[in-house]
Amino acid sequence: MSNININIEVHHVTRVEGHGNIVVNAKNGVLEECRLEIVETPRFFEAMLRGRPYTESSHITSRICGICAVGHATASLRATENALGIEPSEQTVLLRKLNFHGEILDSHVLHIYMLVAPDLLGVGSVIPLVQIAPEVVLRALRIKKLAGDLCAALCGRHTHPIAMAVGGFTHYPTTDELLALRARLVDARADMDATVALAKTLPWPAFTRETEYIALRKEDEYAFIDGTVTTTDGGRYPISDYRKVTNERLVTHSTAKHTAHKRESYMVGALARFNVNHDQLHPRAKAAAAELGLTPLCTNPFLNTAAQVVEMIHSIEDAIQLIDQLVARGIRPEPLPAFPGKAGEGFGACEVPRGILFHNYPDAGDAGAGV
Amino acid sequence: MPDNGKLKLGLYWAASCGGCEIAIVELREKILIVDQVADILFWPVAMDFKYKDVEAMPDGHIDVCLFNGAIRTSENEHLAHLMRRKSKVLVAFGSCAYEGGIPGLANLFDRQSIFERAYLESPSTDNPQGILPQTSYQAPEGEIHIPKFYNTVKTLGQVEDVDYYLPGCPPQPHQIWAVIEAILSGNLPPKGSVVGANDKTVCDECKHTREEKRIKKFYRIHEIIPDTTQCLFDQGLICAGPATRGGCGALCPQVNMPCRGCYGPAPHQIDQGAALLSAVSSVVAADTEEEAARIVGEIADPIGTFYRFSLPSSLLHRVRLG
Repeated sequence: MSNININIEVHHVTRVEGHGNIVVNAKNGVLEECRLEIVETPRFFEAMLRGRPYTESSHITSRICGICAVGHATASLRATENALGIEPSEQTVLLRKLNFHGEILDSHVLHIYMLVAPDLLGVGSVIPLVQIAPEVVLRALRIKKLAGDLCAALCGRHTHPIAMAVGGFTHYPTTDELLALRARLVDARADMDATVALAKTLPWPAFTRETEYIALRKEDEYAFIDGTVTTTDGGRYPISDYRKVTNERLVTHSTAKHTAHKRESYMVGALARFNVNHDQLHPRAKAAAAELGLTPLCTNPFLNTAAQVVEMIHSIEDAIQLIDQLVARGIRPEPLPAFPGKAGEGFGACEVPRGILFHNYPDAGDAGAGV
Repeated sequence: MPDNGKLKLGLYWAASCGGCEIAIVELREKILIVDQVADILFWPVAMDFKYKDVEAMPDGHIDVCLFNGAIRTSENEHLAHLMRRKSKVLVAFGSCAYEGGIPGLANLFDRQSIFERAYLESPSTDNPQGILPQTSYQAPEGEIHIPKFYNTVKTLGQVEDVDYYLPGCPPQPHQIWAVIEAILSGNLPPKGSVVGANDKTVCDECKHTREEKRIKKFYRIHEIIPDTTQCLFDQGLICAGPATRGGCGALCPQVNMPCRGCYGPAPHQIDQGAALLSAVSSVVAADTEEEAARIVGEIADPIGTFYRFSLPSSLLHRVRLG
């Protein structure tokens, strides 16, 4: 037995999205105490949304997260549309997918360059990185600007999207705007090559843990919006059966709800999506995965960041294809669908940058939206 | 200004979404300049300084603290007091810190009904034993504390002395930069001013043409196809532009969505919702009181429409308790 005593209290965990504290106590080499306190401030959108008109739900719920606001707004719109029996047009679906890629790029580039890379490069934060490797930071900012401009062209701004509505959009990008973005997306391939090269040099910790991974899956594409809930432990559920994988439980010592499926816990996010949907990645993204040594089923949670690099490449390539499709078919203003007169229960799901997201509105009519 | 000429900057997030932090990152290449002119001493989302690092600082050590998020819990309030003590200038950054913001819509409910909805009734929750988080909990490993959830959402200015208010959900990056430049040059307006905005209304920045037409019926966004050159208000869509301070560039009407008022009350107005209601009343085309009541009565969710971002800072503050 070692005679090492450890007493660690971290108030609070920094450089993550959210608030948490860590406490670790070890006496004579024996762990006495180890806990993660989630002290995140709950705002309870489930309660606030009651009584708000269905046309406002996406604008309110985008404020759940300023980093994946497009994802929350989209999941909200899908839940409302599901409740109202509204099918979005092909043009709406294409524009939403394009917008979504902008957000995936925006969030992943921040995580990879501003949060993870400084640690693995041993500089502590992005600020010293500015001094020792300005070209790396400038590259990240260039990709981020492209992502933000893409979202702004479609929705008025990235955080929080404005022009997305139930059943459509209130604003459309021009063909010239789309073609200008396309050219910048093509140019971004070089920045992504450099990102892969950087990711290859980072000293990823060698750690694996058998894990259940859960993500949305579609038959015809790498899923970000809609799909079936799919787990690497075996099992596929329609989105309306989401409770089979969430079943949120309460504990007295945390404001965060706990959830499990077949094991004590499961993982969502880029690595889960990669493990579930690897076969549907764009060839360039697959090549990057191979270069980074990422093969399914990958159980090293640190490589979630590598999976984000792979997803960025997929998003860039798919965004280029989507723009080609939109330009070829031409963009036409479409009226927003009328309220069909009644609403049932609605379910919506999206893969936001950090994981799967469900919106469930028991009564999406004006009197009782809920999350 | 400190001896090395660099500004000591602190950033903190309370009850918020992270969008205000993203707005800072949206300064993009100017972030590199920020590094040259400022030392960031506290920024939990991006840097590793801890609470104890801030507590160890002499009072007034930080030159400027940009504090975003509403005051929802005891921890939010504790940090508001701490950052006030350690900062020469405290800025309420973004709609939540300034006005209460979207989290402030919870002031239509009380703590108990919020807990019941979120922890017991919501369809995603499986809680047959009715377990609720406790502020103090005895675990085998020791006592665990989580912050107390207040009954009412407050603004930063309602719990601490605030020097400046910087509005927006989120604030526009070019406005943030203008404020940083003003701070660096010592060119700040009197204490209590709204900064990072202008002294006009959103209407003054809006490119749509307004004729102040009389309205016989208010519509919702899916009920009409608006003329994209004409004022949305004139077309019967309730737009908070007339009651909202300018500075955002009229982003929402620009993409044909009515303004929801995130930049707060227009200059010289106290209650944004009352001002918007007054703007609505002044255009209603009704011959009788009954007709006026019918037209206004058709507005869906008046509180959520008139006080979308400002309920905690309004004269209403919250729905009555008990």
